[in-house]
Formats: sequence, C-alpha cells, structure tokens
Amino acid sequence: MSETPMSRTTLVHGLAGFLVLGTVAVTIARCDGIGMPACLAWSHGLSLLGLPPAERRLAEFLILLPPAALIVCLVRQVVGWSTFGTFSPALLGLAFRHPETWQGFPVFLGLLLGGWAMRQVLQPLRLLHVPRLSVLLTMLALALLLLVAQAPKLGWHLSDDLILFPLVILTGIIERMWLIGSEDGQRASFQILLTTLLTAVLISGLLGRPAVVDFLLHHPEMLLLVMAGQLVLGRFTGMRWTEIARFRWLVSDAATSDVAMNANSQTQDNLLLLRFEAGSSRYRLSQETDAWPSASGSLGSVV
Amino acid sequence: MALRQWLARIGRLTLLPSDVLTINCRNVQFGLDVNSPSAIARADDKQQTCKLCVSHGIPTPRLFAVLESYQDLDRLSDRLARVPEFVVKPNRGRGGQGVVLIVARHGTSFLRHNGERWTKDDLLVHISDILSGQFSFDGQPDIALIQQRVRLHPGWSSLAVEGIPDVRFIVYRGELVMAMLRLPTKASRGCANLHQGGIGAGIDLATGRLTHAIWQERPITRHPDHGILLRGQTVPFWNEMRYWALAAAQCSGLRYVGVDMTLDAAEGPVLLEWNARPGLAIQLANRAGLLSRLREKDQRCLSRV
Repeated sequence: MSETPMSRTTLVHGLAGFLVLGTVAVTIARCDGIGMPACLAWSHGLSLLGLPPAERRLAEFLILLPPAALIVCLVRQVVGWSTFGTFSPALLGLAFRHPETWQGFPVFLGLLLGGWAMRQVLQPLRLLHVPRLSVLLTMLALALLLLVAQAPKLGWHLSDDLILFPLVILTGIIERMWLIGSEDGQRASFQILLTTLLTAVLISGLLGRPAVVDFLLHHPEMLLLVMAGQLVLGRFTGMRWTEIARFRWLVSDAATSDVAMNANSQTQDNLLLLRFEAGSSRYRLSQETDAWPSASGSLGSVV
Repeated sequence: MALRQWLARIGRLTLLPSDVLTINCRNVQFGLDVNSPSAIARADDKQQTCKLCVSHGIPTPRLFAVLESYQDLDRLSDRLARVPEFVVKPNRGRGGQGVVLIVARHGTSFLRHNGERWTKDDLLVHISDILSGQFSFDGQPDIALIQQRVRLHPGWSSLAVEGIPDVRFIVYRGELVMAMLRLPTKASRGCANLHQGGIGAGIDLATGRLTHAIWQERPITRHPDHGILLRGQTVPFWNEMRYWALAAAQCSGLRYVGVDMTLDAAEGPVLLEWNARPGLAIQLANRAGLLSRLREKDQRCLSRV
C-alpha cells in the first residue's frame, strides 16, 4: 500500500485524523438541543452512566484501560522511561485509582519487596526457570491469603480492585526486577521500579477523578480520540526526553563551540563508499571527496 | 527566560527531526519499514547466522556444539572433553546476557574469564537456564550454543588489556555508514558492550583511524586504564574488516544492519554477529548523527531507480 516510510506515516496520520473527525461528529450528533434527525437517535443510547453498579464497575475499568494505555505509551515513547511490563503500570494505576484503595498500596509494595527478598533466597537453590516462578507465585499467594484472612480482624478494607492486578503480573515484575538487577545492577532495577510506580501514580491521578470517569462513561466515543493518539505515537520519531540528556553534545547549542574546536583539530570523516558486488567476491573501492556537516552545522574542510 | 528556552528546546527536539537517529526513529523508520521480518528473525538467531556465514565463506568462530534439549546435556561432557576453552551463548539472547566465557579447565572445574570457578553442575544449570528461555529476548525456550573462543590478536596489543575488542559497523543499503571500535576496560570486566563499561571509539571509515571516544557516555581522549591516547590509533586489518562487514551485511539480507567483527589470533578478521537493531551510541563515539547519512543513501538509491 505504501512504499516509503514517509508515506506510511502520512497514512497513519490520516487515519488518526479520520478518528478525530469521527469523534467530533459523534459528539456533535449527541448534543441535545440541536434537534437531531431521528436516524441519529441511537447516539443517545451510547451513554454508560445509567448502568447497574456491577456492570458499571466493569464498564469503568474497560473505558479507563485505553486512556491508561495511552499514558503508558506517552511515558515510554515521549518521556523515555522504561517500565516493568508494558501494561502493568496501567493495571496498577487503575487498581489504585480510588482514594479509599490507597491503603492497599503499602500492601502491594510490601508484597513486591517481600517477593524480591524471597527471590534472593531462591537464587542459591538454582531452580529451573518455570518452577522458580511457580514457587515465587505460591509464596506471594500465601502471603496475600494470610493478609486477606487477617484483614477483617484488623479492620482493614482490602480493595476489591486488587483482583485487577493479578499475582501473575506481580510475579513477572519481581522476576524482571531480579534479572535487570543481576545484569545491570540493583540501582537500575530500582530505578525502573520507581518509574513504573510514578507512571502508575500519574495514571491514577489523571484517570481516578470521578469527573473524568463520568465524562468518559457519558462519551465512550472519546476512545476513538484515544486511539488516534495511540496511532500517532505508533509512528512517533522524535527524541525521547531521556535521550535529550544522552545526546546533548550532539545537538546542544551550548556544546557546539566545544565540539567544533575538537573537530577542527582532526581530519573530517572522508566519505568512503565501499560497495559489495553481489555474486562476486571482489569489492570496489571508490572514494568521494564529500564531507559531512560537522557537529557545529558548518561544512567541514575536505581532506 | 532560561526556563522558557529550555522548554522550547525540549519541544523542538521532541517534535522536529534532528541529525541524531533516535530510538523511536530507528524503530519506526529503520525497523520493519526497511528490513524484512524473516531477515530480522534470522539476525536474532545466532545459529542461523553461523550457518549462513559458513555457507558464504565468511570467517566466524566455529560452533562446537548446539544444545537443543535437556537430553543433550548428558552428552555435553563427551563433546567438550577435548575443548579447554569455549563460549556458552544463548541462541536468541540480547545485549550479551547469558554469555559465559570459559578460559581454562582445571580437572573438573571450569575457569571463567572473570576468575570465577565453576563446577560442571554450575555450567549445566547455566545451560538449562538458557534452554528454559531465561536469557532469550522474548522469554521463549531457547537453544544453547557452544562456540570457539576468540583469542586476542597481537595487533590489538596496544589497545586491549582486559578482553577482546570488536568493531561495530553500521551498513545501510550495502554501504558503510559508520563504524566504532568497542574496547573492554577493567570496569567492564572484559566485556566490550558500552552499557557495561566498555569504551566506544569512532573510526574514520577511509583510514581506520580512531577519531573520538566515549566511555560511560562521556567523551574521553585517553584509555581510562593505561592512559594511551586513543585518537590516531589504527584498527588492524581495516580493509579486510570492511570487506567482510559488507559481505556479512549482504548475506544478512538486512538493509539496515549493525555488523560486529573482531580479530582472532589465528584466523584474522572474524564475524561475531549481526544485529537488526544496532545501538545508537555509535553516534556519540563518532560525534556525528546517523540520520543525514542514512537519508543521503536513501536519496542516492531513489535517484538511481
């Protein structure tokens, strides 16, 4: 359908544009007081505000998950934070979106750190991968069961939404944390844990507000808008915020004088073209006197 | 106002293209847009890379054994009886995870390159971890490869102290775009990977001379361990290395590819692997962005048609 990267990006942007237009059209069509024709009367039935409580909880979760995923996309593609698992911050943020469930957060953090400590205990046993994960899962399930059994006596109210955050994902986070810790150091793994938690906090802070939930339930068509955002992020090629720090002396205005000074004192890269001839074992060397723009943006001298 | 300038700069860099190839840009425009899924899958499979190299006559470390199942572990000691030193690798690993170098053998114990001693059981547990997929990039069950260990070539002697350096080439549409020498340091414990503490030094493509260097994402001029001036050092066998890198890129079937070459004491330039998603730190080591070079090759290819 499309041959070059650019036309593919244009296609995606076009699709996103259509989704935005569709959202606007549906929203306008649903406005009361414009005197909509009868053929559009169906759009009044879109609101999910009138559902019975059990269905409403499900609808709430379903309608919040896509925007939460969009926030995860933003955090990963634009900010550049890495998170444990793609959607575990979304599930985590949604599980703790009500203020009355915040007391469950220490429980979660305790399970996570406890599980991490247990993983450390399991290490010298040199268990195989899948049984080791299963042992970890069993330990977490036991800990959670004990907690559930004790909660009424202690007068704690454990969140029903805790069920949204399956133990399997918790186990996965602990295992990933351990692996990253053993390969890149504990600092890196706790950094990723921190960014995962911050993303979850961002999601629960933005999407936990009753006004947002009611708005989305009344306008489910907004999910099209969310999808448009996800599509655009799917072809996003800009620099991540974390990369700006990394590449600062390739792009920074302040650093160019320093780079240019260094560049002048050494030979510019000569452009060397070396083409491998298919089917023969010979290569052709051709040297072009073509200089790359140096880091300062000016054309360097040809050596 | 400083804050406003700062925010404007972040916005500009986020939304407008610059000369730097970013992670997002590589993944979107130099991933599936230019490379076929089958070629990417082949690049992720080291055993297939090795087979392709052998059939195309590209020098590469020999493959001693391929362990595909737990039953193969029983026969391992027979196969390794005459091999004192070898490398254990996951077939579909990422970032050097799970790679273990055995440099010597003392009776029944194996000596790792970092001085740690492993018993035969330690080795078997590590291999079964590989088989269960602990080090594979997608977590799927994997195959363990036992490969010939590359030995330090005397040509490296002025540069290398702790381990074997290698050269990363970026090849796009059959032409060399950028190259970087990766040097292990004491901090990286013999590993040439940049994020584990190796040095990255940009290479002038025409002459094979080192230009700039970075260590732990910061510019350096001298080797942090023994103080040798890096700029101006020449990569040995540069012409052969370039030749084999281009041959390997051709063989890989990838349009945008990172080819890793090194020097073996006996065999000279050998291909280590090729990578469909090569890292971006090579731009820091060369103090130049990749994007304009890649775009220029695009232009040249379009005008040729």
